[in-house]
Amino acid sequence: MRMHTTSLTLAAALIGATPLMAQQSATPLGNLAAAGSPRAPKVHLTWDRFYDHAAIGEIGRRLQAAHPNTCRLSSIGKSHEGRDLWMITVTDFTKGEADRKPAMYIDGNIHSNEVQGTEFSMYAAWYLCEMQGQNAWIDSLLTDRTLYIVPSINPDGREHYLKQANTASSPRTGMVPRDNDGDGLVDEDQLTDLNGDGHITQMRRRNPNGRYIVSPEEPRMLVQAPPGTKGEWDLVGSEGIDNDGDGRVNEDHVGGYDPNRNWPWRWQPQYVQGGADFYPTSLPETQAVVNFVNQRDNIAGAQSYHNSGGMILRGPGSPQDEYRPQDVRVFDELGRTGERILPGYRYMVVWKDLYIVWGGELDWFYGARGIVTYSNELWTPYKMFETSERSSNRYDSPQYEFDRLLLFRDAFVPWEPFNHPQYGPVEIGGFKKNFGRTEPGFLMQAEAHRNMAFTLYQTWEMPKLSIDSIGVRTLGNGLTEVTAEVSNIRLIPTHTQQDLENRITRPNYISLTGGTVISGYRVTNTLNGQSAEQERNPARIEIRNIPGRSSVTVKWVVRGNGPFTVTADAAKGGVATRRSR
Amino acid sequence: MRVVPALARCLSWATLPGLLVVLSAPAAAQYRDHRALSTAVTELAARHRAQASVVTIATSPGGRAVQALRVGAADRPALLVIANAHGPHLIGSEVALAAADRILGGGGGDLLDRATIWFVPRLNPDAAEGMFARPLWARTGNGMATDEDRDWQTDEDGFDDLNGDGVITAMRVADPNGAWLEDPDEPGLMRRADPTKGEVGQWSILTEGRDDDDDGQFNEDGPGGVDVNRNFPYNYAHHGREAGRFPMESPEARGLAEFLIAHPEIAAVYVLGPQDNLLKPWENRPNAGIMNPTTRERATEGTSAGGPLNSIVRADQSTFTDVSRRFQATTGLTKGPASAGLAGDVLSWSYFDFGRWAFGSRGWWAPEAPRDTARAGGARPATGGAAAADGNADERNAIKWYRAQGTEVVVPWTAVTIPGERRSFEVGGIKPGVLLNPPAGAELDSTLARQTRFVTELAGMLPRIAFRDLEVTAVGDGVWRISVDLANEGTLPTNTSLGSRMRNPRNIRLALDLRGATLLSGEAIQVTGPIAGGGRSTTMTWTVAAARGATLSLSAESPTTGAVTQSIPLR
Repeated sequence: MRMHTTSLTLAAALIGATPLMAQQSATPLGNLAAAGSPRAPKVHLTWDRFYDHAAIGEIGRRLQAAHPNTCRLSSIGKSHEGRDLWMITVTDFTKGEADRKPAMYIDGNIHSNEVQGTEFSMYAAWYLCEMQGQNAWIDSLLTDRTLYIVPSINPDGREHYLKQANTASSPRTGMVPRDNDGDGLVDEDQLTDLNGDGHITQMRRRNPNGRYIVSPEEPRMLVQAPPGTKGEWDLVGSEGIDNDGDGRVNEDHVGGYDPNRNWPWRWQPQYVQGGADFYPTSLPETQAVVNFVNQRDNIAGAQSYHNSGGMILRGPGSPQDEYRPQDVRVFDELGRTGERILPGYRYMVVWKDLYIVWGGELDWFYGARGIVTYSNELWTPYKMFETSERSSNRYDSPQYEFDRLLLFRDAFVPWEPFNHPQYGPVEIGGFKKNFGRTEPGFLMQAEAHRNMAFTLYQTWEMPKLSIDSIGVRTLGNGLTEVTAEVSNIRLIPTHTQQDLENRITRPNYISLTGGTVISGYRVTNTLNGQSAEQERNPARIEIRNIPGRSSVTVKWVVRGNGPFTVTADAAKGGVATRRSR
Repeated sequence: MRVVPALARCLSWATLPGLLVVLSAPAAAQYRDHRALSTAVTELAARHRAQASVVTIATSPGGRAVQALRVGAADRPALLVIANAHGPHLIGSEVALAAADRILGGGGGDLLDRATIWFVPRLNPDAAEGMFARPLWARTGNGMATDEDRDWQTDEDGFDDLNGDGVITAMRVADPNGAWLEDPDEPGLMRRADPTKGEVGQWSILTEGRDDDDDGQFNEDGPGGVDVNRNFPYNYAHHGREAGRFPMESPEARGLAEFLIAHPEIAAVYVLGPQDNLLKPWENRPNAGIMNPTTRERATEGTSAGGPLNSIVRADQSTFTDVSRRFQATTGLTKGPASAGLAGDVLSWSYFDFGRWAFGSRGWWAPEAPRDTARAGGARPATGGAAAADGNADERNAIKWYRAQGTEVVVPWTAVTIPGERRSFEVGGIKPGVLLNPPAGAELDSTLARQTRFVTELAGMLPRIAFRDLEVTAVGDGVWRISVDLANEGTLPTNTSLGSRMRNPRNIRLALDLRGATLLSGEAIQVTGPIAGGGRSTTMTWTVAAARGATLSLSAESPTTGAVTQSIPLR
């Protein structure tokens, strides 16, 4: 059984429940867990493969069965083709109410080919479940935080990528049929696995006046003919034919939109933003996530895993948008620590440092919901030789060298002749879909762990309220003054500036019980004792925001001697309670 | 000016300009609530089973079906008439129904031989019901419970009919810090004081009702909802009042979009509502794309770097201008209130996001009132100076026009008491809907006739393609040069230039069936357009190798233009 899991050749083919089932009964061999690893995992998973839709559900069910108080599987909606959008909720269900704890939302795989976000997010669910009870930090995290993990918000596209012949870049779209070329026909000229080898690779054609030659160093690779010399080859595109007889090849593949341009924040139509589809939330998957998040005011943080390039991205996606300076300071602090956790990754702003995106998911999370959101672009070529050099002296691309020295040529389909109906004799070959944008198997768990660590760090730094002190002073006349200092002991404010300015989530409520409240005050200056009265509903003082690592003070004039109970309640920061002596 | 409440009630009910469903006189045109309108639509389709049918395109949060009525055969180039995205705009619904009725009755001549007209007579039925409620109010939001004032409660403070007249109007309170003064020409109206002219405001303006939730604001969060006419994505106001939590949140807006996706044959829309581009046609304006902070140069709007389009593309302008001219000639309407802003509305969305020819009109507004002879001499002129700049001109004119018809549409300011309030409030002002909807009777009837003429004319302008001037030239031994013109014999271009850019609607697909011939130049399958209207054409050429006597076949089609074929004998 172990043989399967170490065979990289089979990594893409052996998807589905079979390897899962095989490992279920095995108990781990070995005696000492490595540092930071579960001592006695109940669910055995291998992080060197990509799991299909059935396997995602099965993993969720097994985690739930093995850890019923930590992990629960549910569905937030259905995809276009009717697959469940599985969500794994991770928290300590024995303590507090899951939907009232500050929550981190994590998804992956919005682009069909960007598959490993699914494994990375499932790794986090698995790791948290298996570490709970053996690690105090994890226990504390799960006591007062909830993680909503949706491993794939595009299960239709995932299934196509995994099970059909594809390149590393196809498909990006989901599976709602669209007319990409405006000829009234839908998905009528798709990529085609001409030689039936299960891969879509590249086509090259001999041409005595071509632009390319075979690299003298690496016979699998074509390089541009040196200036002043003739080439021998043309590269003529991805494997395919002119299916519809319009003289063009592969111009209307499946789908035809970009699920990450379909979100209802500064959405723009096709002529501004390619792939936008007809209107924001036209896709059922987008709609399901929007509806879910709109019902969860406790979501304070979010991460959407993409590939590739090694980036920790934040918005805005468009130059017309702006993130509030107060919020940028928080994003920056988290992002810089992220660069430390993720060697080879850079913290970047989408529109400035990458490209312009209108209607992207992370901008909706921040713009509409005021949620601190990142999108990590997983896998960077840096990991191949742990150097930033994109090319060495000897090769135009280190990919071939990496494939040769570390993967033993497993990632490449050798060039083979093929007689193309339109192009005549060609050769077909090139890198497989599971190389170039995803980690090779031996690096997947390490990268999953590092990305999870960044996300858990963000989860930890979401707001957490603490009632630091309750002061009780007798005013005479049967009246008592009760003063409470309430702090947010973490980095992220209870309300981002975006949230505050647009009044997205309710104010923090600081309430007193144990006496009859006569009047209530926000203490505006603790040194000088200046206060502002809250005339309406004085027993529940409203505080618009408690910034990260800072505190507010409130006070009440009360009839009664206590003991008093103060409760601080933040939509995105949980609930804290303390009783006076 | 004080009127006892009983008298006010009597006055206002007696003079309400036909806004209510009257139980008698079914033959005369009148305004219909959702139930009556739906029944009328269903019955109309039933009477013309061969040429009409009804589908439901959405169900409102209030549980009301949004109907679409098809008039004419399915799958022909089509016009879509959309009404009542703005709830109080009842006239649009009646125009839609009257036009459908008259065209089905043969009033469009041979129009239905070549065109189809779809009608969505009431896109926002939850809001429209406000005009039939008691108290009557100008409701714009649908039945979705929302938190309009962002105080984290929903629908906690709605209007109250304090003066008991059955209508929700304005409320004012004397306020030394207020910004408003009474309009000297029309005491029922208020205008902003102009401090630069030494004016000091005396009033604050509210709407009629109590501060139900005791938060210091009045009627800030009533029943509903999302205003469907603010919920479309073009120029959407994020976090805006009644805009919804996100664009296309409302099932009505979403249902309309899905309907258009399912009906690509709809080439043009006519929207009856507050947005107008027929009195003043849309124009291409100078580029206002996003400025690059470093280079200080503006990127081209309507691109990724330049951001949204702020005005129509130049190539489409002549058509907007032409249709505006025809509208004015056909309806005789040349002057009227300015368009409401374009923000989340269905009219601008239909063009900017869905590429359709999109034309909008209020349908009706008060005609110019007769000159005020009664007040001549002592009275100020109705126009000019501060009076013209105060924004009340349209209201003043409407009030006068109604008075000339013997109808009073102003509720006189009347003191009301609100328990727990020390300040003295007065309720009054212009009644809801009177600026939008003509009174039942001759004015309503003539409006329906006038608008039906335009709907019929616009449907007759839809694009229609034909092949013309086929030329086959023998270039040499078995080599043929083929040339043919593809012409648009309709009036509207086959597509907007913007629609062509976004492939929505799509352009014309031409396919040359070679039947064994060898193509030497040109494309066997190609997409072309837009082609301007009025018989303009585009020339297509191919060369092929084939034996003499062979016959090729050429076809052209798109949903918005129909399909044509051309046989090409090689000889």
